[in-house]
Amino acid sequence: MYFQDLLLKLEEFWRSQGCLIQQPFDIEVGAGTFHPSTFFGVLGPKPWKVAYVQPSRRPVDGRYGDNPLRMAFYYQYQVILKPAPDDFQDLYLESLTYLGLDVKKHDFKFEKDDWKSPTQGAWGLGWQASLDGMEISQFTYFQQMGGIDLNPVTGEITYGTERLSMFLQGVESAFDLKWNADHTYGEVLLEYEKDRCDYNFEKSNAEMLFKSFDLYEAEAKSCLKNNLVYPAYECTCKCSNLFNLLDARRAISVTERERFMQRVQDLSKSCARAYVKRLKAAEASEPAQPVS
Amino acid sequence: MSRDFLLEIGVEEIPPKVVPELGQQLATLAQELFRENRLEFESVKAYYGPRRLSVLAQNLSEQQPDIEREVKGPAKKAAFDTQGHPTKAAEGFARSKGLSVSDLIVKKTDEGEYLYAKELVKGKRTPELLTELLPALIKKISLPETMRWDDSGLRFIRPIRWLLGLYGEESIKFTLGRLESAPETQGNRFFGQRKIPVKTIVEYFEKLEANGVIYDQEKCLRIVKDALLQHTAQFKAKHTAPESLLEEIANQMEHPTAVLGKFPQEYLSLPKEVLASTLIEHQKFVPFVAGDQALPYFVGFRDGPEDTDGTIKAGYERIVKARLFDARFFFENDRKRKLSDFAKDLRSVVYQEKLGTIWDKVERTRRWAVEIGKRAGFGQLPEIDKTAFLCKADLVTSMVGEFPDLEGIVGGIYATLDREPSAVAQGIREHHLPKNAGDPIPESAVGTAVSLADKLDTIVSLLLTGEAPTGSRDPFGLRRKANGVIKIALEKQLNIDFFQLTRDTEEMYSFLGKHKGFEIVEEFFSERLYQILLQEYNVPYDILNAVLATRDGNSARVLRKVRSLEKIRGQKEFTELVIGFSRARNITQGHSSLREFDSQLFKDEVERDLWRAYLKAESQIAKLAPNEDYAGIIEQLLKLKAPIDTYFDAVLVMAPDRELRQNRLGFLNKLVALFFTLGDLSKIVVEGQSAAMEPKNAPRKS
Repeated sequence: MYFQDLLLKLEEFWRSQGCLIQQPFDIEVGAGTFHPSTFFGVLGPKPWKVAYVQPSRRPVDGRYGDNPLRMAFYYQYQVILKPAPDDFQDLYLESLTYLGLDVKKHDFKFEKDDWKSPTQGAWGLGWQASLDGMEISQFTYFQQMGGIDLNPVTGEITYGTERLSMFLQGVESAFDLKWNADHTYGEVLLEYEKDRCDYNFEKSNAEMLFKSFDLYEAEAKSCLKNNLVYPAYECTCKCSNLFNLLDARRAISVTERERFMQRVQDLSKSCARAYVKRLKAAEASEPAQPVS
Repeated sequence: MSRDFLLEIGVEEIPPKVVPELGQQLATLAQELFRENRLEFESVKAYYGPRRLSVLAQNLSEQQPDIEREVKGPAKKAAFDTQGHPTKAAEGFARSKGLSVSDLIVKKTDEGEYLYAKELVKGKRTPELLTELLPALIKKISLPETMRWDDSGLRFIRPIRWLLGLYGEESIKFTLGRLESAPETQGNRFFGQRKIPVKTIVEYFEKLEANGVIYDQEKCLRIVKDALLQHTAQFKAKHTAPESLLEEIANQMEHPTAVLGKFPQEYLSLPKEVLASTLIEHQKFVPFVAGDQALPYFVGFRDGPEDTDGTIKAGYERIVKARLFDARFFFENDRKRKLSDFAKDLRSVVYQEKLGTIWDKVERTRRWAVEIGKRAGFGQLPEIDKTAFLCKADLVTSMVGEFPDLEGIVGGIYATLDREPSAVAQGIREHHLPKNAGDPIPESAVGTAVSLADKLDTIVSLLLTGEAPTGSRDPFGLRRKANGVIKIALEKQLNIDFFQLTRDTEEMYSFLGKHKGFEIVEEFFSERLYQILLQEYNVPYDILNAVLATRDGNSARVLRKVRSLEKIRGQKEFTELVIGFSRARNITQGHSSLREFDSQLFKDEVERDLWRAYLKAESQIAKLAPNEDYAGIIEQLLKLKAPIDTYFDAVLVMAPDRELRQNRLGFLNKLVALFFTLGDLSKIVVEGQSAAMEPKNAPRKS
């Protein structure tokens, strides 16, 4: 199955489960959980089911395209089910079968992996799903987002699409994946990956990144003062990505690291609180309120 | 009349490290529950695995026994009128119990006499009782982490998905959160049926077996070990997985089956610790070594039948290759520079806001380490200094960035590759020890000195900046580090007074300006020493309180004092000495500033007797103390017993005359101080006398 067909199949499966099929978030993020459909969507009491592809940037994970599994840029597939259904694990396994994976032929494990996103003020308990020792998904019962206890509890699945596709195509490296009949993943992204790594590790202008961080942080705060929840959140995501870039550049020391993460987390929490406040106000005035 | 009872809690994959502990807890709680409810049973056994916690009780009685209970009624005064006839209150009470007034009895209580009715409480049938009690039993399990998963508010380690209760052939109905029990279980996630009806306990075990579940965890562990044995025999090698990994593997699976994989020879050039970490930490795969040489093989375990077509083997090999590729990427990157170059990078890594960079910390550690080396008589001072200089350098290597657990080990490997002396490489490797409770302590002198130095600097500097642990919050692990220091001192019998040492290195911390003061360091260490001696050396708390009443920074010496007191305690004359000393101690409380006395002012002969006995003992003890001859010191103190007793029987210390009184108190303070060579013996609990009871607290300042 081509890489693009895997993404389509995931869309199909989750659409049939009643998920809203959302489009990717257009700001640089490290994971699908940053998409407003997840960050804001899991807050508040209303049911919400959504699924989407999220291009994700992990500067420190880049290996110049030399490592078959690790990339600075890749595609996550994110599913949010709120509330988490009782047969959540089964649904996930069903989705793998739907993709054509015969799980019984492999060593499939739900391995303890408690998920935590410090910059988002979020955590949950769950597992990484591993197939023959390779992590292919993250599977979590969200307990908190933006520092706020979630009620109801949300179930979240993040698929590593390249890794799943590698199993289905039987190839050794993500860059060898057939994207469609004519092109490989490497043709589309290898040069980009190399450039990104060179930039992330060696050439980025740390001073510019530090300055940008400060500017976006200030902007987020000023947005929050004006009750502009979404723009404030977008600036927060910018800060998170800038922090990741600084980290890859090794421009931040160990202790400073904590402080930077704390700054982003503070912003995330403020955004979440502002959003919940808005939800409550809307609830008080009129019943209907769209989620994000 | 009894039947067997089985409870099974079906859970989504429980973290393997806590599976056994939760399983055992459930069995213990079940036994407590039976006892509290007067149900007899023959035995209780825990069964557990990643997806289920079960408990089997054999021959659990079918019914609670009936018991007789006395129910309190009205006061006797209110129950009978002046003629002695029962009042309405008495009749009403009797009626409510189905009795007549003549059946009631009168009992004396603290509040006067009351009427009581004897009531027979019928025992409940066990199944009904279990229906009531099982939900609470499950909620009682204490968990290292909890989560919610639905709107019931129920918390558990992972979502509970099914509940099964069987009493003989009777299904126990009960409700927990949104879940109702049902006479059903589930097999292996992939190789068993879902929803397996079970009517009897025998059938339960049979059906699990038939559905890919090895319910006996010991058997799972045996399968894992046997599989490894087979391969170690085949390779004429040994595997290097710690026991904890094997247990984790067994507890993660319901039907473990070994899969052997191979990785390309080229990766054997990686240090074997790095190879092992890559396989163990990242993949839970078991590596092999033959002699000192790593082998290009590993064993992983899948939960299910044999990997007949090699799919899993191929998958394992692919992931291992990718992991090793990464490890080599880090290794080669790191090896472009020397460890000493990395050490210089520490100048730009902040250690803690107020404490400067890690480089600064290393500079302090070097001075501590050399000083410790000198005082402990270790020699090897240049090696100690070099080790302290290099010990943190691996923190900025890529390898430790990827494998934080290899901190120290990577430094040791790189030091060897840089041709540093082997004592230095070993010292770097050992300087973290002991990291956790139960870890070994450093073997080499160099490792010991640097380990102590690193920990002491961390503890002292953070305590001085106000980062003392509070309650369960100990973000810098200061308690663990202090425990490490004390353990090393005790096990190696080091004759170092850490308090003296701390005071001698005081100026290193002058850069902090105004800080919390060194008193806090001594208090912190004394508290840790108290806890360790209490918990790990089984020292009675009162002896600890006695010895630790005088501050002593030499942990090994404290232990020797403690042991000498333990030996003598319980002997009659020592007990009498403690009682006599306590009189001196108590009467001088609050007058400790009086230290002077004039023997000319002694009035009674008895006073002079004690004074002379004191002088004799003092001069003897002055000779014995430097050699730490505590048995000898106790012997000298025992000679004071009779004069002390006579003294207190005859002398009125708190004489009305001020001068006389102060003179006596001044002398007694001297006497008390002499006893303090060993400790405050008044804290030792003797029969018929209660001493200061502080079993759980740290020693108070005397």
